[in-house]
Amino acid sequence: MDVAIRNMGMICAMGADVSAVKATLFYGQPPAMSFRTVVDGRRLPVFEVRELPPLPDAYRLYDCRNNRLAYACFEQIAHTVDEVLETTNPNRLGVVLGSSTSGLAASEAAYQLMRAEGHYPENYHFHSQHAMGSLARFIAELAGARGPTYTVSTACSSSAKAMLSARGLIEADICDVVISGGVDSLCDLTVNGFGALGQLSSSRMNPLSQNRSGLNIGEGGALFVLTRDAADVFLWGGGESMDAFHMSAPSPDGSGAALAMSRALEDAQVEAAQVAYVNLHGTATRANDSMECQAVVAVVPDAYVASSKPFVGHCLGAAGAIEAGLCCISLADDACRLPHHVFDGQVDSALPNLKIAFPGTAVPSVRSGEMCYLSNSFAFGGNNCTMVFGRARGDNQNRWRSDHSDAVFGSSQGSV
Amino acid sequence: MSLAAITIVDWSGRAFQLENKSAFRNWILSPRELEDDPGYKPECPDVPARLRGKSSTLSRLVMAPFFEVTSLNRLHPSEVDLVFASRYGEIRTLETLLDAIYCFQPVSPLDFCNSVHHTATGYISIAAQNRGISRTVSAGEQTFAAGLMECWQLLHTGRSETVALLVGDEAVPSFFDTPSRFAYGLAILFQKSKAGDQFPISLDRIQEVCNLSVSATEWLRQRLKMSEV
Repeated sequence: MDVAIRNMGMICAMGADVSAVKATLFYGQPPAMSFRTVVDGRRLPVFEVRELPPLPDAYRLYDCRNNRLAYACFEQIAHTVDEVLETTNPNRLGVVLGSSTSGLAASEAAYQLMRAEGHYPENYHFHSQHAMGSLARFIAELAGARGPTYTVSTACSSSAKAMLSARGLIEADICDVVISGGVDSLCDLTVNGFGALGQLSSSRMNPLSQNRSGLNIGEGGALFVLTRDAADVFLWGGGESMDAFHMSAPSPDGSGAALAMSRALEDAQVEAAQVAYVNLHGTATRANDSMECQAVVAVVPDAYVASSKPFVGHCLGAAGAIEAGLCCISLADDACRLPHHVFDGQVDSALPNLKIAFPGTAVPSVRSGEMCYLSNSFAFGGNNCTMVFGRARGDNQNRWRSDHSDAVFGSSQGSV
Repeated sequence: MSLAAITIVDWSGRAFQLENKSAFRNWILSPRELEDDPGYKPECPDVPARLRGKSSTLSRLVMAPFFEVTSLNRLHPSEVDLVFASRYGEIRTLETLLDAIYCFQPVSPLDFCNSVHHTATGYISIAAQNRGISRTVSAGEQTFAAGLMECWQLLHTGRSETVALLVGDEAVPSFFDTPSRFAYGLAILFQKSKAGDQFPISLDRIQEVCNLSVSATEWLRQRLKMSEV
């Protein structure tokens, strides 16, 4: 079942809303990075969101960095949520969001203070700021949703999985509309943890390059209003798999990733030749580059590929949603310009030969509804997820454009 | 084809001093305050020793009943999709990491890997060579209900034939200012309901618990009292 993406809101280092993200994606340079110091004294670059909106007073118990990111996204879709609630029973409006660490940064600060001074910060509330379910609960309260409300947490595939869960709730007739996507915020644990694994780069990440040196952590979020209604862009399907190999390293032959991609094509009922573009997980680690390229060659060898992470960093549990957002921006673009690959141009010759999407690459053929994009997200525990996005196809064509010729994603003030 | 109902194939659980289904069942029917031993790790004979040694306590709390129920029902553990519902995830490992960072100590790579909420499904995947679907959900007091929703939709949409709903949490460290509970793990096997099933669970009954704060053990208690499982 194709699920319509009625609207979306985004925030990340590329910009504070969909319009700003689009401008950076198509016309700008990758944003500047800031730095975090890890326990061994290294200063490592991260992609940080510079400004965040305060929460309304009524929600101060939820006030933490993660929920501020979520609120920034929600503000961009609030008018669409209000619109759907005019005709939707709130019991059938669900909220399914992904996050890896939720508001862990709030607990980190509280732990420091508790150990140093023996008391909590005044504004610390574990259950509404850090407990994993709090993210979805916060958005449900903002939206007035009374349907199923939960957070999916599978580390770096969290928000991709959340979007497939949301689609499943609509398909299973439990919900008519679901707010889905994901949010993750910078915290000491993830920077130190990935540092301990030796996976962090001291410069901008450089996927598919012979000079790669690992990833940069980022933060951000993207929320989507998913409906059985009509829209320009649809989530056509998705596939999931487990590697059954290792807790922190992917299966080297890419078989787990390939299985998720193959299942996604089957679920979306598309052939490999219909895939125009793959937004790679693309973390710029040697292990990920090698296995993901093998998987792409095995499943969709003719598709363009790119990693968007040098634009936003690895946003962990939000990565799937943010990169899905970039795919949607491209699909809604008149020229269907692709989210292009960012690296130093020195392709690692040990990798299989792939069609890299360079700046300016466009695939207007996707406008017909015949072609689609894939978005890959892979996580610890060999937890793999691939989503399939495309324009309206089949019966969904002509249901939307006739009434909504200017309708595209972003704020109520205008189109992107 | 629309699915009318799902059914419980079997279930089992683990907690300190509740080492098999029979003991867990008796406790559910006659609940009493349970002791908790933070060092308790259930036996997991189906898991290779090296992997078992690396796995977290919470992983073992759900792995043990998972392998028990799949074996008892002659289901290969690689052919069962996984839904893990946990309110707090790997909260004890997380506290260890918070302490390391506070003390400017290096973060243990194993502890970091074992700190992700869905750690248990990763270990089951490796131990069972399971390459199927796995999802992990959390929703405060509605965590079990969220897991039930996931099971329903995976079966309803035909994506899964058999789903194991794994439910588990550890006793929460005092820092998190949450009433401490005992550590436990459950595995409940669901399949599509077949003709003749005595106690099918319809969508109406699933939706009844959609946003209710009912725990897995309380839900099972109600069903045991009605002799439904």
